[in-house]
Amino acid sequence: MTNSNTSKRRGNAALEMSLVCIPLLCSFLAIFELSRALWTYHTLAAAIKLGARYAVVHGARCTDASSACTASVGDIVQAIAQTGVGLDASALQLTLAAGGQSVSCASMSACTGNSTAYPAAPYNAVGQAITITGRYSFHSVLASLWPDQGSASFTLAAKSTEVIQF
Amino acid sequence: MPNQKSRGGERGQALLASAVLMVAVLGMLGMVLDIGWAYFVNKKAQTAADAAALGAVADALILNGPAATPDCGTLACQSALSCPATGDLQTACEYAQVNGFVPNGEGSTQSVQVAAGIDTNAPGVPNVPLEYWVQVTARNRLPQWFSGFVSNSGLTATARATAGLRRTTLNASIYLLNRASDCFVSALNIGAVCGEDFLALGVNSLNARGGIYMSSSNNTGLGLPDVAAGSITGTVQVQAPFTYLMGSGAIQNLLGSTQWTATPVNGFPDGDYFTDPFAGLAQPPAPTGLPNHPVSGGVIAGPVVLPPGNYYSTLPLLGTPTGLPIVVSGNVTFSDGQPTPCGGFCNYVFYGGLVTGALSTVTFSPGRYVFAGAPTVGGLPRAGFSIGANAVVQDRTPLVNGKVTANTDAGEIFIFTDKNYSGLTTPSAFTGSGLSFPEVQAGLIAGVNASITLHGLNKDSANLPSELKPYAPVLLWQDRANTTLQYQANGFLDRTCGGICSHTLSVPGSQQMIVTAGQISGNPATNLYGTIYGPRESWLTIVGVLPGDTVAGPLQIISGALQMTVNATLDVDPVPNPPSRLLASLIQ
Repeated sequence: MTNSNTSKRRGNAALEMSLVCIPLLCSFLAIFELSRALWTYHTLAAAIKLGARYAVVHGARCTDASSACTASVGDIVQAIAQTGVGLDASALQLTLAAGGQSVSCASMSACTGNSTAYPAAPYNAVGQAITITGRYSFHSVLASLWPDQGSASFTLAAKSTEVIQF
Repeated sequence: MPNQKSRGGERGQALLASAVLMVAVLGMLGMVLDIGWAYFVNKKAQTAADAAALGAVADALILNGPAATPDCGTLACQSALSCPATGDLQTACEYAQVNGFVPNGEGSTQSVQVAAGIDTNAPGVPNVPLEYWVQVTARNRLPQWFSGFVSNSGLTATARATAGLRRTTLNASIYLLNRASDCFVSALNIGAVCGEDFLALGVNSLNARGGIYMSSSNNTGLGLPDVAAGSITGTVQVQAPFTYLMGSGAIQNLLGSTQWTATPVNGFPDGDYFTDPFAGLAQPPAPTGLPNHPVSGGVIAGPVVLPPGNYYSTLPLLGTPTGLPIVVSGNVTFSDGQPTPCGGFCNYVFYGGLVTGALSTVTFSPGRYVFAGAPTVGGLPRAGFSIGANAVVQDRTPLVNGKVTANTDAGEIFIFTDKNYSGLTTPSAFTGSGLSFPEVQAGLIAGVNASITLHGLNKDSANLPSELKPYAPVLLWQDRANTTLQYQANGFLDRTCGGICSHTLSVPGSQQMIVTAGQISGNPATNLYGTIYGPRESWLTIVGVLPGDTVAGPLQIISGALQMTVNATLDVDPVPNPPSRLLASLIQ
């Protein structure tokens, strides 16, 4: 009888384990991925803000002071890259806008070597606003597990607007 | 039994797996929290450092003034030290505190360090020559909630900001300062208008090779009294490498045609280009200790050399002052008669104004000429300096091939004001005379075929008094008291009454400055080298009568508004040695 009872219980642990583990794993994975996404977002937001701050202290007055002080698109992108540690340069789209001058980078790496002065006169005047927008394609492992979402990703966006100081 | 053993061996597996997963998940969550918090605190620290550094140099600019070279006596200089600090650096500490950063704040986790100096370059900021800098470093040691498992070396959010005072030259040809709210009675003859920076009536031509800035944000199609930043009636041709307007400022063609190259661009925010370049600089000091020269009958006939002094017209025999202008005729030279007049710089004050007769030749030595008040004519302002037909008004630097060239002497400054100008010592003969000597109309108002050649102050001349160096290369200066806006003695607008304080002028319309355009044998007859300055809410009118009447030279115009009427040409190059001022900026 005992054996019979035992055999009836055989597999219970595995079943219970699987019943518990699937939602638990999903929860853990969700928390992990959400944390990773937030980490990425924090990094993105800080990098974009720093890029904007870099740009606003390299305006017309800076150019007047020294031609070496002029910022280029590439310089601003480099400043973003230095703060955005861990960001995939190919997954980050950037848009730089100042007055009527706008530059779009399909990816951060595409603009790293762009030597175009930015912002150019007259949009580099003190008081002129500069807006940098970053759109980062975040690839989630969790989303990849979803049916028919093999290469799923979603976009994290950050925007910073600052006024030229120098 | 084997089954029981087997089950017993499995016991705790879920717990173990969960624990392992939990560590990974909580670790990740913790890192996100720690790093997110670090980013937040870093941003806060940067804001505090930025505000502190900029606040300190803004305070330093007020203490030092926009012209003087900063030194460590007037301003605080120190290596990196923790707050509190002294002088302008105390402002840095106060701004850091307002933004949440105090030394040893938040449980001794915060620190604020301030450094300042007058070295050419601030530490870590090459390529930007400065005259004074302030560097603020704000730090905050962060609690480690979860990242401590990975590393317990500690997280510190650090932000550094550097601000400085940098000398900037004013390179544009024309700065028009009137804002949308500034009103005056213009030549449009439609009563008071508001927001006017530029007006052309008739057939006019403007060539400003250094560019134009307009501070009015008035667009077209506004109802009176508001008018567009620029209004054109008649035909005007404007050539300038740029014309930048603040906000939605625009040019309106009321009647006729306009050709404006390059096309004006608006949309600029309020900033350096739209503020008085001489703001924060007191008015040019008046000469002191001059001897009095009463002019009997008010007429001086040349040839004569007139020494420095206070000149005023008196009644013959009685000797009582009349308040009327002094009229000179023939060949008149303002000088002490020495080869280098007055050691290189002479001082004159004319009470009641100065009139040069027709066909006269008047030579001004390098110096300061104050036109201190004149009686009104039928309730209208009288010109401080009137030039008769066919007269020659010149200084000691002649034209070369018909063109005005740089002066090597100290140059001249003509100050147009009233007898209440700060620092003037009025002759005792005026006491009890009842003469008020109200504001004169500024400018160079000339009859036909008059020739005018004058040069502004030259800061490279050793003979220029140091007190006047900040004003170089000003040639014509209109008293700031001669506008309805109230200025403080330090050169800033008086805002103690809420907005900008205002007052009523004793002679309405006196704030108009006039410069007559002319021509002789097809060449420009009014040749000026330097800067014409009128404060905000005043205006400069260039008047020409015949086609080709021109004001030419390396000339810079700073005024509330610019009006061109009838047949005037203004043809100006950038001033080679333009005025400069210190600006406070956040630089890194």
